[in-house]
Amino acid sequence: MDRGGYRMALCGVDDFELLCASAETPAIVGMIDAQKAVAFLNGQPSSGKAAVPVEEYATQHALLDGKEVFFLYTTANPPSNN
Amino acid sequence: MFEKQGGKWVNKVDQRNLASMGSYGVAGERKPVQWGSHAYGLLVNDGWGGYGQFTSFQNLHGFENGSFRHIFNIQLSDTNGASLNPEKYGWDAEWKFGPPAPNGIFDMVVRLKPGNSYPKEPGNRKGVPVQGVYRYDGTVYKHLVKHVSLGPE
Repeated sequence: MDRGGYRMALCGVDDFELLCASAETPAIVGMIDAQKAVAFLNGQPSSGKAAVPVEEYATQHALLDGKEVFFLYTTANPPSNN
Repeated sequence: MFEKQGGKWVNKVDQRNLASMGSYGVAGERKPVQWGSHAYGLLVNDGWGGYGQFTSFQNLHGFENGSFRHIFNIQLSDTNGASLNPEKYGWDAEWKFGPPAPNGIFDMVVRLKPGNSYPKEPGNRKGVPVQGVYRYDGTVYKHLVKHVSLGPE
């Protein structure tokens, strides 16, 4: 039985979506900072996106709709602009 | 943008190549700002210089409805003081956020500094912002009295 099947077997009908969706969602555990956020974004090959270019960055903690959020802004000179 | 869910931070928005700006491979100064009671974004300085003329701008990229968007561009100065043009001019403007409008977004208060001189040709004065209070209507910041707006371009 694969992991998906295993989880499905553990989750009841009512709580399957919530529990299994959260188990599937990659996330940063614990405190967040810019280094962790960049490493996280660059460690998601399934996203199909190029690496986040970072020469400088800024961060921002905020409350949106009652939820704590973290913004990461990066800037970099593109290689084509050298 | 990451959202805290329990003890984890889940990536909710990943928006790359938001804008290209700066000059000579150097980005302008930028700082995160709060532009409403529940609105956040990045304020980016921009500008250019050449042939003795220098200008400066500021751009707000705001987070709205789940993504970032270029909210406004405002020119804050223009001078040809170092050029060979005998008709010299130079002006500066400044702005600050005011109190929140009913929609929660902060008004903008724009003012021209004293001692300014402006280009004689009207076509060269297009970048001079109109003084006063601007209010965000959900799309652009519009002057509360005059029919002008601070569009993203």
